[in-house]
Amino acid sequence: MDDLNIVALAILVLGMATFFGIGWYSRRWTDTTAEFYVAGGQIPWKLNGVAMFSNYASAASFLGVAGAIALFGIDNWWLALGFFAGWVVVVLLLASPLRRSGKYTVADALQERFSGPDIRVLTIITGVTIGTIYLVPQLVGAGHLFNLLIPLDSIGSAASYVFWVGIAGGFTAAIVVLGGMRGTSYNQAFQGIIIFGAMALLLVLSVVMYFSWNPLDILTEADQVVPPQVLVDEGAANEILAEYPVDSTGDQSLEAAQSTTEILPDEPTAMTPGVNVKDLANQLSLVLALFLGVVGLPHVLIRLYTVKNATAARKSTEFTIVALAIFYTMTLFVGLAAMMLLYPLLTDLINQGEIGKATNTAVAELGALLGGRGSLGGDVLLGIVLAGAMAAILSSAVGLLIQMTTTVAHDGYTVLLRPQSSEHQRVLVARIAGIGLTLVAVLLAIWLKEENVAQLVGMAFGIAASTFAPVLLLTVWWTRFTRQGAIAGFAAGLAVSLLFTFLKFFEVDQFLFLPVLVNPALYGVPAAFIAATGTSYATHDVGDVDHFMHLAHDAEGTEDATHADAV
Amino acid sequence: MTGPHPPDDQHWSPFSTSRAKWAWGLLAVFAIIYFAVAVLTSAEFADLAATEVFLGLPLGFVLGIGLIIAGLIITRIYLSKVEG
Repeated sequence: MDDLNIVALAILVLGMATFFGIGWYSRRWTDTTAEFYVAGGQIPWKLNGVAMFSNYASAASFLGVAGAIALFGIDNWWLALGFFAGWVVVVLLLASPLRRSGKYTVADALQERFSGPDIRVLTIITGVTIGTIYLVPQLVGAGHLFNLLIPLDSIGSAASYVFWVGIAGGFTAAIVVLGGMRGTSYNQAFQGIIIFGAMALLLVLSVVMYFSWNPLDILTEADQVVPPQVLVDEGAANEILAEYPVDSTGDQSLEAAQSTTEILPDEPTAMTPGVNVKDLANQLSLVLALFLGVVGLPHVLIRLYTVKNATAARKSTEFTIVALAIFYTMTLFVGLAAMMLLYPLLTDLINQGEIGKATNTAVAELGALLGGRGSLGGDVLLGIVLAGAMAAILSSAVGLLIQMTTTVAHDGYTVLLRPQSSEHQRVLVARIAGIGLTLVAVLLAIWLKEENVAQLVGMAFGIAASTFAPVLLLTVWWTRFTRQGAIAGFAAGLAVSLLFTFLKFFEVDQFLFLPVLVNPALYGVPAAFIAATGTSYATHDVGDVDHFMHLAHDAEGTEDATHADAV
Repeated sequence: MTGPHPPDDQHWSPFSTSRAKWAWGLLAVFAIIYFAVAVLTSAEFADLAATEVFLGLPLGFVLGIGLIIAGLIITRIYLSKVEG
């Protein structure tokens, strides 16, 4: 795929034109702040569920998980399980209470209990920090991925990367600024269908063409295959590459893959845990970040306010959980199929040290193979996969940008700075904020070109789990929680998680006798909970606790008498 | 909203509702499954996770699928309880 593929590019452009068209069409519904921020709370719950799924299933899910499984086998599926599990926590503990007590943002819900500017300022700082750390890797990923798949050789690799980052950033801003939350929601729903459909298409074609119409055959076949990364690590790559060309057919690749257990009979297979696992401390830190991180991701939580009531919020969340369960199960099967059907190609890329390229292009290469390499069908399927990848990147990016835009415009400008401002001024500020935040993110993505995308996303989860998650859970569930405790929890969680994030960034191995882990959550989460609970026991301002608890937990059975009316 | 309220034992607690009891009870079950699978799939316990238990498939895979199914069942149980 080193040459420009006109058919695939045309499908990608068609997809992006549709995204832009939806944003343009939705601009008529962005005159008021309620419409711009949360689509007037009138998004149907099913559409909201698809948008939630799309919002969450970023390129890391669409390409990264399946690609990593293709290289290492089942061990890299754990990340997908963690991405899924966090949603169960959301539906059990926060979906309904947050929907009942908030209006536009998470800060609104906190303010319903603790009035005053201090906590809102902290939520703005934390929300924008998490949003930026999450948005930048989406743009970095877009730059690298499309620079790799559709290189613009005439302007050079570096300029080509900047071009694709600019394209991704520009489309993100256009969708949000033009269409507000309604345009974002429709776009995310459309993108969700593309992401899910592309993954399902790859699975069905793989099973029908190579695995006797039986998906379980993928698992049993994979149990007879040594992952290509292990083959290269053991110095046996040439035994495959000498016999099979990198552009082998699917059947040839399958044969190559099946021969690996004869070459290395004592090595683990693609279904054997232990090929690429973390030590216990790093594993616990990661799973803790994923378990609580979703609870603290503002761009996920804001979608609870785009439906009319708490029941619709719960139904949306359940819809998302079911979609994610199916999607992440499919990624395992597609990843293993890609391993076996692209075995010589992946082995060659790993052997050349191009692990990133092998991971990020495995799904796209599988699409080209299943459609027939060099044929119209192959180009079309490649185009669909590329459109799916761009949809995955854009859906997460627009979700993050609309959340940050609403945070700055509503929590910052409207509530803190200019409460007397007009609707027109507020929407204008939101649009300006959207453009400004995109510019900052694009510049950061150009500057952080060489940073590890997965690590940045993991850090965003770690910071979210260490800040919003403890404070929100304690606010919603603990009557003894105080304003000072909330501030202490926010501050401690943010400080500790950022400290360990940057220590990792600068490759420090140990700090105060503590090992620096890949994810900061193992230190940030306890620090936030200890600071929040300890300070609460030492202070007394529990806020308007009775009003809040009745509102959040529907103590009087007024299920739908919530802020939906206000919206 | 009013001014600061002193803490006392008179506040209505959300834990008094059956919805809260179901939510936290189900969360406890799910958290135990989740962290048990997480520990089992770390480097220290990889050999145990590789044990073949069902149709020749390793324990780690079976538990992973089990975690997804458990998440779906727990979500459905909770929603059926709170929505009556």
